[in-house]
Amino acid sequence: MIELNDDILNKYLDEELEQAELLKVLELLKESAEARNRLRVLQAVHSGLKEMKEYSPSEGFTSIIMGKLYSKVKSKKDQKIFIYSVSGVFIVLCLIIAGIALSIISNSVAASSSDELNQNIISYSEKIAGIIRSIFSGSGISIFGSVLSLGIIIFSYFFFEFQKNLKTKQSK
Amino acid sequence: MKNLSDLEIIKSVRNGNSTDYSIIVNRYKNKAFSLLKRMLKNNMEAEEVLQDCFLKAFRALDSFKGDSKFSTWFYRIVYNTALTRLSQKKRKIENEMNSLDNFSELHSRYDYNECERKDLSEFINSLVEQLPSKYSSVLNLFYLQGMSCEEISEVMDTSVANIKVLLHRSRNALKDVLVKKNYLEELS
Repeated sequence: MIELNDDILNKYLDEELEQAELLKVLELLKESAEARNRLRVLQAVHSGLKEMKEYSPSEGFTSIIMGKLYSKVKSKKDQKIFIYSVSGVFIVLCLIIAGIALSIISNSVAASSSDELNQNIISYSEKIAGIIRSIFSGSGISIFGSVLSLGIIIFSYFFFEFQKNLKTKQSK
Repeated sequence: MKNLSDLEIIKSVRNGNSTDYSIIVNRYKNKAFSLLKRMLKNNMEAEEVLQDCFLKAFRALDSFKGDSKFSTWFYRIVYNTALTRLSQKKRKIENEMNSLDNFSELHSRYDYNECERKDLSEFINSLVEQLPSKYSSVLNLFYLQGMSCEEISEVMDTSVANIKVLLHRSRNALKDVLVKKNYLEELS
């Protein structure tokens, strides 16, 4: 036995009733004026909802979004360029140092036999170790520390300025 | 260009034509704004959240695999961002969203008795604005976006049966208000 409650009427409205149920509901609707009235109000709600209002955001909304996206994409590119250029400078410095070292070694190879070469390599290693030792001992460490700190300060300043510019651009 | 499907536009954006994203923005801004306005009950907040949603969707475009429609995927972002905003504002979502008990006491700024029949949709619209977020979202997605219960269940991450229950309850609540306002008498 089907009871014509609101749930059944909603299903009727959404055409979710099976054929047998539908026939029974139609029969019951013929018999009950009260159920017919409820269905009519529900149908009115249904058609009222079909005309639901669509709201719009403020004018220029799309341009605001696209502006933000553009600045984000650009800032990402800028950041990449900055990182690449800093690491590029570092790599070039390393290459220069390696190049100088190689040229010294190749000069000594050209001028000496293999035994002399081994001795040369040992003597160069000792020299390098000596330089490193002198850097990290006595007054050397303070000079090295000062140079390193200065480098870090200069790098941080430029990095900070770069980030500040990016943020200013993004907020615009 | 505007006749392109969502998937075609997304493909173009992924290929580096980020300006094509404006077509997506123009296509969805009104419907998504309507959903947000009905959930957050505030124009400014809705617009702010909508901006976040479009930016979030842009950033997450690579994760969109096309298993579902773009609209379903995007409305899911919109719905979840709105829920997060509501929870941030400590609005006691559970109480607000799960109860329709006080709805029969709702009143519209449009008094239906003073309105003509043609204003019925305006009257219903003003009632929908006052429904708890969960109910107004279901009505909005079903009637305005024309989504099926299956798609809405995907957006709201709940069962289809639950969506149908929410839809029926919302309609019944609106029906009860109309009955209270003697709409029946006007019909007869």
